[in-house]
Amino acid sequence: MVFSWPNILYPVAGTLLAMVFSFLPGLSGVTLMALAIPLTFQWQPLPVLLLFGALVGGATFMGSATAILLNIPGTAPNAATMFDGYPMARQGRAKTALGCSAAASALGSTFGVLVLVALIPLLAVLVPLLGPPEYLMLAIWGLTTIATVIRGSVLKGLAMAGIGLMLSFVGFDPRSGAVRYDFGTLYLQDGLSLVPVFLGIFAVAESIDLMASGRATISGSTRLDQLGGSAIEGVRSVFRNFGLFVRSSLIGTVVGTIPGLGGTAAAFVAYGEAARSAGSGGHFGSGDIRGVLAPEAANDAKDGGALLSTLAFGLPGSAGTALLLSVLTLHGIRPGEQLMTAELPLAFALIWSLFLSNWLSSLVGLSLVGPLSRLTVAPTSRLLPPILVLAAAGAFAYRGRLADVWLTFSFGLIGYAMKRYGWPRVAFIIALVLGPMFELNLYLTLSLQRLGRIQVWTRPAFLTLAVLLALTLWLARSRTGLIGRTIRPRARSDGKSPPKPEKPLEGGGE
Amino acid sequence: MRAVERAGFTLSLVAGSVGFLYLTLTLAPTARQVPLFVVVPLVVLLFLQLLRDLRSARSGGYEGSVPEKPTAWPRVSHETQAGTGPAAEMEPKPRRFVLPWVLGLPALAQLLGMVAGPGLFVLLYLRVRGEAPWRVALAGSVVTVLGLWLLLSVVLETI
Amino acid sequence: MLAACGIPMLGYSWPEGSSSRQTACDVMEGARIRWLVGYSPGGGYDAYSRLIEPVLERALGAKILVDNIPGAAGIIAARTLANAPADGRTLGIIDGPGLLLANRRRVASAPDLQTELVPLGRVARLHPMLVTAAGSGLMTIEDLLARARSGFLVAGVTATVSQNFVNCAVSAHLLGIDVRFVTGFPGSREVLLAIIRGDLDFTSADGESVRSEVESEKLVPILQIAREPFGLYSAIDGVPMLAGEEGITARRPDLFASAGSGSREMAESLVSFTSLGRLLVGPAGLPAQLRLCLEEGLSSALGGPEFRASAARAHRSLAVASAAEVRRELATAASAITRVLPVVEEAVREVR
Repeated sequence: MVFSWPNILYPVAGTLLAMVFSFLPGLSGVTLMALAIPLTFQWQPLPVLLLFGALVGGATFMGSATAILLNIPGTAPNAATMFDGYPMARQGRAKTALGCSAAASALGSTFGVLVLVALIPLLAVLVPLLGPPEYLMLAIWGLTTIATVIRGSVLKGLAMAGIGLMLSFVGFDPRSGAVRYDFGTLYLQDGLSLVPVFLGIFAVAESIDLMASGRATISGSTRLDQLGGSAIEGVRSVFRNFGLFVRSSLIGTVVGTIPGLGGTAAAFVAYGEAARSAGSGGHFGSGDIRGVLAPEAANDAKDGGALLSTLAFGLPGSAGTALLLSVLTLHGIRPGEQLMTAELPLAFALIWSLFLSNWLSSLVGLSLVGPLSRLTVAPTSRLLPPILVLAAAGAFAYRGRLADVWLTFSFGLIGYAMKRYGWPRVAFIIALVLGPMFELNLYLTLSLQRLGRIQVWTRPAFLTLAVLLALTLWLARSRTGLIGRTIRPRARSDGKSPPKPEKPLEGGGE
Repeated sequence: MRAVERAGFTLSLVAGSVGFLYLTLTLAPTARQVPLFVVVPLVVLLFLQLLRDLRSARSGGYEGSVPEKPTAWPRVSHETQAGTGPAAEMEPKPRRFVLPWVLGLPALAQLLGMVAGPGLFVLLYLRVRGEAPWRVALAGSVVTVLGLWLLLSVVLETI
Repeated sequence: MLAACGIPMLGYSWPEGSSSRQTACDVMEGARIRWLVGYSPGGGYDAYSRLIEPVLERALGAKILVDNIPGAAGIIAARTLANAPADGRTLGIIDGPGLLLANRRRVASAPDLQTELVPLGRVARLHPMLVTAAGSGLMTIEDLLARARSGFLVAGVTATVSQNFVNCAVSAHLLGIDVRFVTGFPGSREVLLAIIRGDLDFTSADGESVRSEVESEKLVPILQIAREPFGLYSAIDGVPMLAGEEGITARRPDLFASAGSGSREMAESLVSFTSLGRLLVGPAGLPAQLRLCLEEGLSSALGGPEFRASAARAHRSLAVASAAEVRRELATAASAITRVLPVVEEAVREVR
């Protein structure tokens, strides 16, 4: 059905369109889906599902391309890829990073789809097992990865995590009906939007750093043949770290089932888990290929998980699946038993379209690695204006508000200061992303426990997650010596003593 | 000087967190449950860090955390490349007056809109800071304006 | 020109001023209208908006852009709508009862539905029902009362400003049930899953939204918050109604003894309040002729066969009403809410 003519046109067109869109920061396949809804209103259900499945799946690789090359996340979930992808680009290894991203994306989505297909018969049993206590445990797991990704002062890392959590509380609190920390503005009543914050903390902050440092090119090289690495090397790295790939894809699939959380949390949790499992043998944040592999695999595997809860219960696990749900209901297709029984062929059409689009975008992306990596040898004096304009446009396009542009640039300044004075942005971002999930599910869990409606220690899923968390924490402690590591930097994997802390680059008129 | 700046940034974080603590105490009990649990340790942590930074500022040294930026970027060697130009061309040239440029873009967008504002920014940046020829600066500006108009007005219809 | 706007001639001569109304409709020709929805994509409000979009575009000759602004149970979108210029370029769909309640409760930023917004019509009513989980042993109201005699019951909602909270709180008050609320669920579907898991005893949900779960016997509807049967699908036939002559407050006053003699009036008030439905609104201050143009455009769009067919295909019921009808019902609902407000406020205080 999917691969027949002319049906194949829909996923191919959808994939290519999604790739173009997701290259622009702040935009994604979701934006394209919203635009496409009125255009496809009169279509039959099958072409609609083929197109929208491709729009969901086709957007992730190109978003990682800008994250790696320019430190601008094409979509919010690609922000985790920047932590190591951009340093790799600065080291002249952009091709390796892009190759790794393409392979991890395609294989990660395959993993997610396979899990989805395997679990379809068990959906009715599995999804209700996950409730507030399980989501809370996942949030705690994600927050504990902060401790692993902190390099340097644990004090600063924890403080940054606290600031991230505090900012995640801004906005309307549905439990009490109160609005918190809005300073009397309607703008903040909806909370801080992740897209402008990400664009500011990373893209604008790095642009300021490039501006202030006067660095000639991103990679430090002026010619393409001076760049190291290759796309093939990147692809091979996925297979060399296959255990990590499987773990990250599993994280993505599980987190993807959590309503509303989506790829952003999946990517960050996977990144943190990869850093934790690498222990002192990794140099995450400095261009470790595993820091690209893990979030990309998770980000693409999440689509399988997100579709699980969307198709079975009408619970969208991501923004893309939320719009997909809208499209389904407009065409009279109800998620749940109807879709999983009488309309199962349509469900599979959607799933295969998603699968095809992920592979297509990765293959097309691999062919673009060479041209794309040229950006890293372009003079920064020519590159900075478009980077800043793209960041501003992405922030504005998100909701059509100039206030978002100001928010982006404000966080750009804050992000630069964080970088300059050694405050870890990663910890801040992880806490900002996971804060709402943590608070909400903590409250729900405590409320239900207090009312005697649940007993967390009798829930199998909760116990499983708690044991897994304890195990990973114990393993991480023995590897990283977390308790003993306070102000001394992590030891280098090559056995050399860590370099003395370098004065941050001058800038800003001094 | 760097140590003083660092302490100043930490002080601003402390001030912000104390402000949040005050706002938290004004919230209803249900609304402030979890935030209180977070903001009180946060104030303590930041205060400890401030003390540390002040101590290092007074001693004139740098102690404490490693800057987040990797401390050594691998450099591509050009010594064996004939005719590639001197390595000094790739050495960073620190620049001044960064802040006006950074804030200039949103300010121009506010004044002239999200199409014309960035267009003017690109023109000024390429010409003044990038020292590009007029034709390059104008071309960049025109491409920016057209691209933003196409994206924001035609495709997304947000303006 | 009116034909170009898609507005049918209704068989009467236009009153004086028709030329300025034509001018107002001309202004909408080719205009770009931002249609605000206070909820995320995938939900009922978004679905109705997507259904309205193509037919309204043809009726007005304008371009409609659906803009989802979720947050604060729709209040943020409503406030954005109220603050928009009154030029017909910003319209939207809101939860009428929810906003009325939020305003009366002085929830931050909630605009006044009667003074800061202007109703242009209604597309559908809500069909609130109390639902429980199959296998919970709570199959009827009597079961609920029996369970409540041995302790409290636990109800779940998304927010205290939600209409479902009002339905649960007032119903529990009328039945004399001690109910504890768990609020803050991210969405109504999460509440339903919690019911199915057994974490909660009951909640209020829209009959259309839970059709799948009711027909597959995962959820059991035990009370329709209505005067007349919803008649949405066969699985809810026979579920008792709260108000009206055939409602249980009339036929079984013994169940409502604890609420006192005013239980029927309170039930009627609750139903009047909730039946306001999903309203189509614009900012207050629209010029009279422009407002008429928009009202007629909506009336034409929603009354057409294409819209009805689209809604049927999407399994969405309709209860289209004109602006005049909505204004009358709004006045009724506004006075009805004063009767239920003290109960709601008390329930909110207990949650806090």
